[in-house]
Amino acid sequence: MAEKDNIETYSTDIIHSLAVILRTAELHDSSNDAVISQMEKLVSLINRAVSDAGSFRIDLIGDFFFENNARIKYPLKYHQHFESLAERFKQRNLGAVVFKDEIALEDVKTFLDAFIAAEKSETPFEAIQDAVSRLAALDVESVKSGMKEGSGQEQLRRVIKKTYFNAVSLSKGIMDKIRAKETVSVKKTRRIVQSLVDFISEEEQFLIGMTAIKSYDEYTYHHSVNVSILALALGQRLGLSKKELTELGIVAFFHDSGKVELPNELLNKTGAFSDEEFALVKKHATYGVKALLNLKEIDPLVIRSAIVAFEHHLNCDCSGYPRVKMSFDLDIYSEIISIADRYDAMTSARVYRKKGLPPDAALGILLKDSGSKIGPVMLNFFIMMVGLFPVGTLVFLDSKELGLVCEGNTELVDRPKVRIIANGDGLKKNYLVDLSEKTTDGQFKKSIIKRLDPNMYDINIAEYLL
Amino acid sequence: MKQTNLIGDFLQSLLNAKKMVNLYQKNNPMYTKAIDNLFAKATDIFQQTGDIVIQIEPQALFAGGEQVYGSKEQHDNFAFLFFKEGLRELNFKRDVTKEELEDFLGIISMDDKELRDNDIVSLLWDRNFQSIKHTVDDGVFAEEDGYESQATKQALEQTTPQDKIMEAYNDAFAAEDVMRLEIEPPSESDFEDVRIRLERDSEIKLYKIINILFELFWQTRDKDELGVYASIMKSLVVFLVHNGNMENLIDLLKKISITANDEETPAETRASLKEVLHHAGSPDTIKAMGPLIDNRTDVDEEILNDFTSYLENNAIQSFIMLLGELKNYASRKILIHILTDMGRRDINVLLGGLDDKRWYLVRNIILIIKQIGDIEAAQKMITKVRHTDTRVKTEVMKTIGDLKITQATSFLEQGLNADEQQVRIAAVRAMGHLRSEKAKQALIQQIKENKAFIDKNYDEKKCFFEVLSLWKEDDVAEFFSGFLKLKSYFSRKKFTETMACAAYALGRMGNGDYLPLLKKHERASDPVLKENVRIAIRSVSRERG
Repeated sequence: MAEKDNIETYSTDIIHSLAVILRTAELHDSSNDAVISQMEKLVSLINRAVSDAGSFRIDLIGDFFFENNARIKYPLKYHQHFESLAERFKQRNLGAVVFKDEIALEDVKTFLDAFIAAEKSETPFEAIQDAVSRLAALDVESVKSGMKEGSGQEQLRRVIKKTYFNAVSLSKGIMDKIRAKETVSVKKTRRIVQSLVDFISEEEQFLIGMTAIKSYDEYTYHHSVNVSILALALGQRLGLSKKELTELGIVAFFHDSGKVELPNELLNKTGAFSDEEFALVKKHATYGVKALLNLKEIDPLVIRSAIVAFEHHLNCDCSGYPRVKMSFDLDIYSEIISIADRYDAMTSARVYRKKGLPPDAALGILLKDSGSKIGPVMLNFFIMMVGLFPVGTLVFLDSKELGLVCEGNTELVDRPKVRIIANGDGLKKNYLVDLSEKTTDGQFKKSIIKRLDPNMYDINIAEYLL
Repeated sequence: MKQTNLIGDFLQSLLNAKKMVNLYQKNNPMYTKAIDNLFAKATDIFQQTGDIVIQIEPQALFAGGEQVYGSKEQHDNFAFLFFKEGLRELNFKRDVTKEELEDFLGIISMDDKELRDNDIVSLLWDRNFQSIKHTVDDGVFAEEDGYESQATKQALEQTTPQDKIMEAYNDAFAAEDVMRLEIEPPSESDFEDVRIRLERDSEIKLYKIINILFELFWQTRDKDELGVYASIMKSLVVFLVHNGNMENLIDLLKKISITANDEETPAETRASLKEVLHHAGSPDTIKAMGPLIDNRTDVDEEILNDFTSYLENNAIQSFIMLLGELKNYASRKILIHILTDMGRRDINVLLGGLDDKRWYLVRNIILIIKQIGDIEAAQKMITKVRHTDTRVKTEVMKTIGDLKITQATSFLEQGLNADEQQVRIAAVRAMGHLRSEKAKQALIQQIKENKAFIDKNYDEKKCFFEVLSLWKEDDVAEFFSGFLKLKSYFSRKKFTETMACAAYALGRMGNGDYLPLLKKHERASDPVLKENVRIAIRSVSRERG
């Protein structure tokens, strides 16, 4: 057990150290004293891990590093280092580094030089592989085909899509049960959320993309699932553990349970609400507490769900609803879910508003409330997650192509992947461009110059994202 | 051996180990042996063939396409146990450790009660085994068959027309340029801020849910709704009791009590809140506290007293019931203190407990009544107790004495003739506590007129004389001296014993007038008499200085 703990600590330190060295080496040179000193530390860490376990390997799966199939912990203070290193690995198609035996300083130096030089190579992984092939103790592997573009990833995405719709179906079933005052089992929700937690670590952006496919008819059910997914993605970025993420996902799933108490004619009203009607709609927060605490035997999960149901329309400054006598220090889950809830609600079509807001416009509204109603730190994390042009945004590129953002970029928030829907001649097309791609002289190949509202043109986002 | 046979053998060991895990504690040799055996079987397979990969079907398990386990039973069916949870494949990798196998067994051996809101797959996921992998089909949880394909079809039903795309394309040229927003990535201090909040919120915020429930109470006047909130609060009370969360429980009850007794609170709200307080003192709620008090050594009596101070009188009966069930002396003592405090509020409830059949409970209630010190209640108790156990009767006598209930002298007189010596002695001592003329005469009369007195055993007789000596009155001294002046030719031993008791009592009175009489017996041949006379002379001499 102690040995395992050691290796876990080494893994975190090794990743951190590698990221720091790479950054320093890119600025200076691998023979620089500061770099050498850091490399010596890295060699010592690696050799200790090798000595404990016989060999040692780091794998990149999705956006995360794994050590012997176990995800390497994501300490908050190293967050940026982890992300930037993962991005660099991905750019080079590097999927694993294997230390078969104890290594020498020269081995690390060879690897680092090859790694930095590979940035400009047409075949970066092969370049690194070629350079390290003469080293006995070190080996590299490319990104596993299953996790890269191709059949494995497609299969995973199919599973994610299936899970998403299973979750919507489950949400529908749960709401029906709450409405009928039947006992609701949390088991199914827990299982679905656990799957979502797995997917969020492997295919965060694809899963976030699923939330952009809105359903006008089944808004309430999609909304529960979407809020759960967005909350999980945000929670992951905040450094929540798997167990905490599961709890957060379940709590998010139930945040609007109080709506089942509202009359259908009110929920389906197409016109504006009267004051009395709006007062009733606002009551769903307190109805949620009632519904959840009556759902089953009280336990910590139910308590937290009830707290979030009550607080999810309360702002940081205690404005919002329900009106409260005493001041409330919002639960961190409430704050996470509140942002996810607002964002999804604003970007969805509703019975009283035929078209949802474009994602970037919704982000703009959230930004206006930053510092007053919304905590700026939390919002900052959220924007880093969905990007400045969130999935579903209709954009016009400097290449005169029109496209829909289909996947955010975790590092360069204004450089997502875009599904082109019209080429430079305005003709309907369907192909992918990655805005983080650069030309050989280091310039970005394409950039967003304008944005439009996809709802104004009846563009079916699902056609391009599903 | 063929790989499938080896795996079949391994599964048989797994099944056997599952039974052992259910039957025995971790430290039991049978348990350890089962785990060791399972690990040995697994290691054997890893050495000979490789990983153990098992495919799961409803009534059978397969390895390499061959059946390795089969059962058509509904219960104790390994295959069905896994299949119904959506498990479709299990893979025990060659690096599997004994601890992992043990944890795996722990998970698959849980019953529904232990699983609560979990299931096997959730727990496997939580445990995140390094060398036991599982594949699941989450489709088993889909609420509607074919929902996904139907939803996908619906989502893709409308394709975006070319003219709309062209319209968007054309509009794009005239659209406003995007504003370049500079978003700073989260800083170290942002992460620190989040870490602090996560830590702060990691505990269940019970105080918050309590505050929320009060907000809800304040916001409604609807009777049905108030009923629902009261019912939720009752559940919360039970949750807090079960979890031993006394701090929050007291906080909740305090809030309820203050609000329920505040005249500005609407009557219907007050009634609902009172219901909650009543529930907090109900037998079920109080019973749930039993294990907390009984199994812990660090019970804080002050906290318990704080808790009971908010309860209504119905809690007295509930605590009496709990008192009858507690196992430890220390915890019973705590409850006796609680009931001594609460019992004052309604002594009749305590008196009701005297009808219980359990002697120890009745004795404890008598003790509580004694500690309360209410004479009137104690008198009621004397007439009410019907329990025939010696220990109960003894406690009644003690109570009369300790509380100096002179009105109960005749009851003590009856006690002097009780069948059990323990009761008689308690009655004598109680008489001593009363120190009344009536009590004195009753004791003298017993010694003088009860023909059987001389045959009582030495200790009991001595007790009579010793207690009587407390009066320190001349007639009593004269009464004692009479025994030292008499001569008897019958029952010599018993008579000398009585003389010894009288001498001892005379000594305790310290009256110097009787020193010569005592000295006459200084060299008595009977060792008991001689010893008591010696003690008496010493006492008198000390008294005289």
